[in-house]
Amino acid sequence: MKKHGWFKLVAAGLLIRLFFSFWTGNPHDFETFVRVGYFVANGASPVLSKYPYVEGLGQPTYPYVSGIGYLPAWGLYLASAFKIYETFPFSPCFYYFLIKLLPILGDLATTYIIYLLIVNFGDVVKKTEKEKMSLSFFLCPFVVFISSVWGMFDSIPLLFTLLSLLLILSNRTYWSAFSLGLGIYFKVIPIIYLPIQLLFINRKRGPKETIMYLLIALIVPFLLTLIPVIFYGWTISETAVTVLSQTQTTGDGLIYWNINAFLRDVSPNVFRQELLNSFFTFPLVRYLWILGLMAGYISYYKYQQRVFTNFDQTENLNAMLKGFSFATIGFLLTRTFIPEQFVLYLLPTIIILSTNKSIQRYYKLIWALALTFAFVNLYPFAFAYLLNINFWTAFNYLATTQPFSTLRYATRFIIAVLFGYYLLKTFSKLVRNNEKAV
Amino acid sequence: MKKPFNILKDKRTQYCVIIWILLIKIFEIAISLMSEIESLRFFAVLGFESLSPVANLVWNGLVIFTVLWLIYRLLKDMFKLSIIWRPLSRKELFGLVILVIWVISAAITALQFAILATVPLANPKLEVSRYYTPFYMESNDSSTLVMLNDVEENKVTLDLSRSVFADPLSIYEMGQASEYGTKYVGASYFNVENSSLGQKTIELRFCGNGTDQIEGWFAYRIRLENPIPMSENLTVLLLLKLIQSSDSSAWMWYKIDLLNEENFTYSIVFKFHDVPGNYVCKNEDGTISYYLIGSVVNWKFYQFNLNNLFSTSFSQKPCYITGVEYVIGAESDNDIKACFLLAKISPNPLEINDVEIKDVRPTITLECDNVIKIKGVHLGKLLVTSSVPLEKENVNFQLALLGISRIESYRWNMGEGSNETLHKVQMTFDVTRQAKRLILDSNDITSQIQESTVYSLDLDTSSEEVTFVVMSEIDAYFVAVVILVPIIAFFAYVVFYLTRRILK
Repeated sequence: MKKHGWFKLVAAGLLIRLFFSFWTGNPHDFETFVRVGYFVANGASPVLSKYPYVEGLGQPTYPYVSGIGYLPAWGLYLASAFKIYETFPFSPCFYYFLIKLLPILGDLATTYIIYLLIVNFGDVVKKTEKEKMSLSFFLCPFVVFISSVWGMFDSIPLLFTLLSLLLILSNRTYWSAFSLGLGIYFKVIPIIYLPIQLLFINRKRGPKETIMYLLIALIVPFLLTLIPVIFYGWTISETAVTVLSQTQTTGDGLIYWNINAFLRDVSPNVFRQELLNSFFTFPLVRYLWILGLMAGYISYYKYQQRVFTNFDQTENLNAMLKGFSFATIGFLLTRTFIPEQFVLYLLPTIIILSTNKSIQRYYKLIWALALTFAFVNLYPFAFAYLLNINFWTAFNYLATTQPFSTLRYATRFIIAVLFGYYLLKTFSKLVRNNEKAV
Repeated sequence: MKKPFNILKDKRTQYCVIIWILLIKIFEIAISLMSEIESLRFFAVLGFESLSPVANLVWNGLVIFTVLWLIYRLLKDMFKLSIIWRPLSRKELFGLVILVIWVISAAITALQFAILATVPLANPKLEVSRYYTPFYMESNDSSTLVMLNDVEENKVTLDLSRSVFADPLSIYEMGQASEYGTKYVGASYFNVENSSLGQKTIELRFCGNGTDQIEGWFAYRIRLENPIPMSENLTVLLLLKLIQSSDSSAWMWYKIDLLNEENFTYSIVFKFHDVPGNYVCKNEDGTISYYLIGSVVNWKFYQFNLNNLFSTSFSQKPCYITGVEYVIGAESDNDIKACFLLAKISPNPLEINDVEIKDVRPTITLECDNVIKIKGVHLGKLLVTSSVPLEKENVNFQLALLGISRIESYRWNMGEGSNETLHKVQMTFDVTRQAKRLILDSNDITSQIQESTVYSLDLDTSSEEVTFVVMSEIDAYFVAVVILVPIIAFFAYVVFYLTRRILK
């Protein structure tokens, strides 16, 4: 890479994001963010069951949307974005831009953390190679799409998760726990990496620090949730129901379980909603992801038992990244609902591990399949719903009318199966690499 | 190549699956315990309450199997004990089958006995609702008094939705109607009507033009020719009901326009929905404050101090009320109605026995003189519900050849009756699954009772005595099995043993 070439690429990545930021969004998620920002800024809780359309903001894609199913951090940010927008005489596009500003900055910061991990602890020698690897995350079309087109903020919890990894390797254990706690405060998903961190610390520093790490990582999001709940007088039960009900969603998203929607579309009389619901609510199906995570943790534990020396930081980084990858893959392969943005958590770990050519290939296939799925699930023009509601209406018609709906559900299922297959291949590649390492 | 299911033969994989299933069970128990506590009830979302009975049975069977499997694994791996299966002889097999049948029937019988002996079949409560005509006492704060002559308990329940208010509406002036997305002009309306109970009611109707996803509304706006001056305790009293829409999109609002000291108009909107959700927000220029209240599909009563609301919403002092607006709306494929029994701007809040009322059916503790003192509204009739004390309660058990019965009988004496108008006599009871037969005043009402936890039944208001009998019966079949099977088995064994001995 030429001198300052990386600077131009970063600038290009930022410009692409800024270009999409103020007029695109996911018709459900982004519309929810737009309304929640308005209502929280006006004193409501971010997790109520219903938010009506706000005249002049977003579009009336749904008469009502339910609140955000996260801890309050994102709701508070949305409210601040609305307050800032309110103080300037700009159009709502400015508000949409502000909502996406944090995820875009999250992309940039995550890229920098990836770079720091590679520079400080990686086994890559060439500087240009290090820059290229970290930029491959920043310029990945799927990453660009999630933050600047969809408007989803997973890059923020991802940033804090990777920062906690960097801090743990830099021997700042408690700051690492604090960082992971902040990640959980934005979205609960980083909690799946906590057992990996605990196993690592227990091995390195013993049980006392492990317990402290656990307490900090859990108390930080708990306290930070409690403070606004008490300060603003939000209703706890409604908050909790919205957050917890995220576990209720069944058989949809980027997972083979989405055959559920296909079967219902093809033969609604045989595959009745109640029948499928009773299948997906059965404990072993609903909580299959616990088994998936257990498999991930056990794979990591076995690897850690075999390869650890206490001094080689490159080896430590690789082990932790493999642990993170095992947990993510175990989760993505077993949960009954996988939103596309969860794939983001797998990408940085695979990038850093992708000195191996075959893993590089899987990295490309994984993000390409996730992006294709996103565009089949919600046709690309629907993301322009903020410009004209007819984009949404047209999508809605196509998505619910046969034979278009059947074709869409079938394609979604095929992509999800392929995605699962490549996740398994990546998992087996990583495990085989483990065996070689031993 | 290993077969995929070979992985299940692996000891570690088996432990992994066992721990997974037991973790889910522990999780389920913890969730169930936590949701017993009122403030943590929301955790029930994570539990398995929605499982069907079959799924529940399969799940619990699976857990029991897992526990047995864990015991087997631990015996084998930790204590080096192994169970060696050997084939059973016919005699042993026969004995085992009898033993299993006996254990199952004994367990079922014991359980049935336990339930029959301990669980009450019904906890009936008899209530009478009477209309009382109030009298008035003029003093500094004009009060309405109601004397309850024939009430024995110290608590009564009032029903504001069935009471008659002397002056339910503050504003009777003509207003202007406007509408959007309605079927035709006149289909949606604002009317003041008299109900069958003699209550003056505002009825609002929105009849949409049938378009889905598009929200329509009907509004009726009244500008006051003589603005109402504000006073410190000025209170809005709203007693209302909204009929649920087919798609949860129904709403209505009651808007009050107020002038501040600089003659700027601010508005307070009480917006009611048919689905849950409570929050407060403002419009963009901060001149309208919305109080959004959900789940108003049954009669609800609210009262708000206007001065306080105005000050907290706009940090200003209100001077006059200049207008009110009634609006009803929903997605245009709905035809919905809303009713106001009270839409009153009162100089004082509604207080009963000096307690501010927040519910449409408040429970009032009576003082020794059995007088209810009402401030804030004038009443024509007040509906009061009180419990009739139970005169007799008996629980008997009866043994018959093929069954064991539990009989609960109750009797209430309605007495001479009161001079006040008797509106309704209602019995409320919990129907348990064990209740097989219900007899009310010699009439078998079993077929009328559907499966529900609490059941209400309206009775004849002229009755002087009410009797209620609940019966439950279990088949004696299991008892026969429990008693007879071991005896038959014993005799069979003796005969078999002796025959062999004699033949030898």
